[in-house]
Amino acid sequence: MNNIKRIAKVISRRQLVGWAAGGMATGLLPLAGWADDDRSPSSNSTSSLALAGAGVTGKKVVVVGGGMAGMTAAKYLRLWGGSGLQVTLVEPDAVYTSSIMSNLVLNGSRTVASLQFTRDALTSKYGVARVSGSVVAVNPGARTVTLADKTVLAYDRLVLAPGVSFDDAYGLTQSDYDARTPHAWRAGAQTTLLRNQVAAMRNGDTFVMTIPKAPYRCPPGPYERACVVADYLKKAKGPNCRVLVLDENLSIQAERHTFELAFTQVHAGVIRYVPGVSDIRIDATTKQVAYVDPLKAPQTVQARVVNPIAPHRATGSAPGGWLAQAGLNNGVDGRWANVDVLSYESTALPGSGIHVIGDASSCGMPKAGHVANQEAKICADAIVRLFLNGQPDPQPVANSACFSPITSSTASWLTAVYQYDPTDRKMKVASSGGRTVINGAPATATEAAAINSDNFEDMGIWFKTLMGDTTA
Amino acid sequence: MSLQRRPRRPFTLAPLGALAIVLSLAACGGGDPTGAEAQATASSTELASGRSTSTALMAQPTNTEGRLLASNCFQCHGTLGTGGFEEIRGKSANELLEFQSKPAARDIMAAHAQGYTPEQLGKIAAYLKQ
Repeated sequence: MNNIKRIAKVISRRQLVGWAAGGMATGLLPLAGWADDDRSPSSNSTSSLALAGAGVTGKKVVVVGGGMAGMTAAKYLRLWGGSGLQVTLVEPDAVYTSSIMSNLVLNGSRTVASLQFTRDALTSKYGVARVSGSVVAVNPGARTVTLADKTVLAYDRLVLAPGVSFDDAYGLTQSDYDARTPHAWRAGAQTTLLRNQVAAMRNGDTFVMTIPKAPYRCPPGPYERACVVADYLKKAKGPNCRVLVLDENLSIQAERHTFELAFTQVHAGVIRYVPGVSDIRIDATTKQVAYVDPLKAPQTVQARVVNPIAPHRATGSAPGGWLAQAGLNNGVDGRWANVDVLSYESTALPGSGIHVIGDASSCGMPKAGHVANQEAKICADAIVRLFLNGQPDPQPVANSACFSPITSSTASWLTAVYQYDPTDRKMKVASSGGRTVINGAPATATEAAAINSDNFEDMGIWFKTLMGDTTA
Repeated sequence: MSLQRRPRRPFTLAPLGALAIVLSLAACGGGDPTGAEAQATASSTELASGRSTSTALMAQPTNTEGRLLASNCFQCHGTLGTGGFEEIRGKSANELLEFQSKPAARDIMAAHAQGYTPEQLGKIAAYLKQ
């Protein structure tokens, strides 16, 4: 290990800040967070930022949903809008459990506790008011939301970041997901259940996972999971376990070069990838999986563990749900909320002051935590500008970066920058100096040239820093 | 552990050396007397656990042009560019522009920087330099 880094670890960041604060009372900029991810389930940053003196007075924003998008929106509305912008965050869960990195619970290298973050710093550092509860109705005319306990909250602008819910699919119900065949696509108890099921597998057993048609949350995530599970089974159980990946899409949806390499070389003989499957049926009791292959031939496989990543939709968008009742689910198949990507205001109810961010919205960018963080900043910036009688930034830029573990010690990455195209009002991937068209073709995201341990180490820094920017 | 670190992190300097550089950047960067340096105050917070932690209250740049653009950096470099892979607050635009000629697939930061126009990179640097 690098000696300098070792020294840096021994002298903790807090000590450094302490020395500096003692010796030089002013002029201190906080030090860089050290490069290791210490995996502690908290968000105790030692620096605080002053709220902007933006000039917003007497405005109320209610943020619904305390995930990656909602937490970032709440923080940045206060940071950029100042103390005259009241922010109330509505969320039923006491702590946030990150879905990012949760595949590493499946091979035993992380605990669910290491993925948990409190939202306390949003209140203590930025003055976000928090309400524990769930929304049951949005009332656009009255500009209020109603919670399950009948609490009514008034807003000038409403930011909805409700995330996704999962369909009953393939013959399974929500109780099957909770108790027998977990999707574990929202980290939590199902992640632990799936980990326990994988750990109980024996050499020769088969793990079957299914991938829904796009759009789904975290495009590389299912392929990453297949790799992590295959790597674990090879090392912990022996050479005869199999991971069967049944993809309802016609091809790998992200990092195609990386995952083709991973499936055909790194995990050759363990992972079998079948794209273009249909008619998946899963028996939660027998763990038998039936499907129709791309040649239209019916197939059946006996699994030990089944991991159905069920199709998802914006929370509340199912018929009768609160998002649907407010008329906000105007995306494809009524599953998502379409938005104006300059402000994330709903296009179903323009002028209503209702914004939808994160995985629930349809904005042309991937459904993923890093992207949700930036959507939230664009939305927060637009709201502050609108409160000051301005207009949203006419040329917003967003970005995505994500690291994918391929084994217990190696990873790849994928990154993209998205530029706004005013001709069709869409966010588009840009490269080569911010250009969205390269030699007549759309620019594409960049994936890592190699799968290696440096990327794995960087992944820890990325996760820790992303969570810090979101929660602390 | 035999893993060799790539020599690309400016902040794998000795900690006190790094501190000196941070302070010198703060002292000469921006030239805005109402900026971060002048408004920064230090306070001490007693945590519920009984541990004592020093907290520095850092002001935000006063010119907000480039703020939303620069916020794209914060997921990997910390809010206001103060940490993560590398502290970037106070750095010059040249360092950012250098990434435009590096091979994208071998360096995630190069791939990332190439998604912005040179003008946007200039605005990001100007914001972070305040």
